[in-house]
Amino acid sequence: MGLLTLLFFLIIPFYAGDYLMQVLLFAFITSYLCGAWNIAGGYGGLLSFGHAAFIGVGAYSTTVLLLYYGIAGWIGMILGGFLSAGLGWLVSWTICRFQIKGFYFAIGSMLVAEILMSIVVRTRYLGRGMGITFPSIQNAFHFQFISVIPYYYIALVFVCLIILIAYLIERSRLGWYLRATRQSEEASSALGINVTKMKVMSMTLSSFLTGVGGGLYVLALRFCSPYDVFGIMFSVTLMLGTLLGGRATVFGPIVGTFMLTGVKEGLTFTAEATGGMSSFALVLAAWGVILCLVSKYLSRGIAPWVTDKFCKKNPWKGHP
Amino acid sequence: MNLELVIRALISGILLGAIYGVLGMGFSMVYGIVKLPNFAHGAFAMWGMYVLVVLAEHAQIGPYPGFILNLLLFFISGLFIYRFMFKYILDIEHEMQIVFCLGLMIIFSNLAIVIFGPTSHLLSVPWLEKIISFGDLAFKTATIVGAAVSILFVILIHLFLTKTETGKAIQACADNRKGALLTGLNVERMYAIAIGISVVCSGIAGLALAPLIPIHAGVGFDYAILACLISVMGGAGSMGGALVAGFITGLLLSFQQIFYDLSLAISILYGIMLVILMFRPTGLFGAK
Repeated sequence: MGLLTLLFFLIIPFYAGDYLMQVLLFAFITSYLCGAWNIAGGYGGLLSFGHAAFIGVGAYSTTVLLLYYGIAGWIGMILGGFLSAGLGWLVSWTICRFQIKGFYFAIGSMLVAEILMSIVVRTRYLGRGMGITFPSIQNAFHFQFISVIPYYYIALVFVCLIILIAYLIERSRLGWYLRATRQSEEASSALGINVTKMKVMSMTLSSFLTGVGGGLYVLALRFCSPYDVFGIMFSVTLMLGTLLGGRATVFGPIVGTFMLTGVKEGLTFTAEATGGMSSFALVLAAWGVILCLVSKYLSRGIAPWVTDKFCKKNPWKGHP
Repeated sequence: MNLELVIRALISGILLGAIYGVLGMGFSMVYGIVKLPNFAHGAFAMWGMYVLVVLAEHAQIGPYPGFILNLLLFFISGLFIYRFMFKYILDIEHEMQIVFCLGLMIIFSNLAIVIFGPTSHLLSVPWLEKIISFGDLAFKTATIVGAAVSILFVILIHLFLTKTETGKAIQACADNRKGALLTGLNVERMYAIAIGISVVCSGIAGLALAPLIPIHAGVGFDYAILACLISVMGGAGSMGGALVAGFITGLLLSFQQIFYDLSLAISILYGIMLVILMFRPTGLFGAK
């Protein structure tokens, strides 16, 4: 089943048009980022509203290294990943040191992203509010392509990687520690789990992966704007995609993102067909109704519901 | 930077702060009593603005004579929202409650687009546009009236919560839900009243801010974030804290008059909030 899906996504570029490929590409990048969010927000229980900070750090390091110093995109992505891992380490160390929890952490992380955004907006070197546009050149070593297809395959590899990482985490001791920490900090620390270490580890890993994804995002978009990569909407999208799909599950973030993307494209399509802003808004309101219903009736997310319902031999049965 | 400018920024900051305080108080109240992070809070402020627009443009009632009517309307709609929506999500997890409230926010702001159109409205009420001047200092009437109404409302809520039977019962529910149930309080009814009051808070903030800013469907989300920040800074659940945080926010935002730069004022505000969170991880007056 999984192999068939993979095969389908491998051969689809030969048949689909440019627009569909573009949509699929960004759906894949967002699913990858949601998967990275899932490590901290899902398994670790650190409900973060500020992952845009890590995306932005990764995106800007990639952009600056590539355009100003001519360092290849993939090196920039990894360096950006390390930079945002540093930021993630700092953030998680701070929340453990000062005991910032739950809702307060969510808002605090949002503040970090907003402050970074306002710093970037005021820095001339980073292009201020205008952002930085990439030239449209082909250079495979630098990860710069004119066509969408190479990015599509890179993003597909990234999604496979994040599935693998989530699978490994779920099966490993770390995953069990993280889930125990999420459910009760006091109880798990009484059982001898180093809660601080777990939080720092999950946040640092998640921010590293998010930073790398941010680099890929701007390379594929060929435009790096502070309001986009540091914007709160990006953080909300990551959170929404993961929570809808099912947090702390392997396939949840991907399912959730594809649902979000599908609805978004469907909306655009319907609005273009019926015409007019008000019909667009009406359909968007219907989307809000869907969100409300999902949060009430499928409160564990869509992916766990599907596996419960349709898979007889459910490998994840009984897992929290 | 001269002294007069600083004094003007200070006073208008305090006036704005009162309005922001009411906005944050509603959020804090729901978070403290019902334990629900109500991200749709800003939507009610937006609807408050649109109600004023409708009253000013279509009905012949001026905005403030119809004020009591508005408050009743908001309170009743708060009761309805509790009865038909929030009642059913009290038992689901925190994260999914946030998703629910985001969904609600999307519904409300898009309904506003459907009804009032995507363009922004400007509320023009002649007597609110007038400038009142005290010596060298000059303020819009709208700011002063809005702040006065907000402060009056805060005092009323305080009296309600501390002096009346129902208010005390609401506080009991906030402290200990099971205990309140055991003593025979109608917790559901208290929750409904609390959400009704919170919606009125948000509505009042909307009514007070309406003459000051262009009104469009996007302001709902902005004010939802702002309310959330204010209540976190003051300590979620603490109403006095929300008021203090509202004043801090208003003061800092009004310093854009000195710097001529809103985004700098906002980033200073965010920085101060972060520092507060570090040293008081549950906000200024939050319970440990």
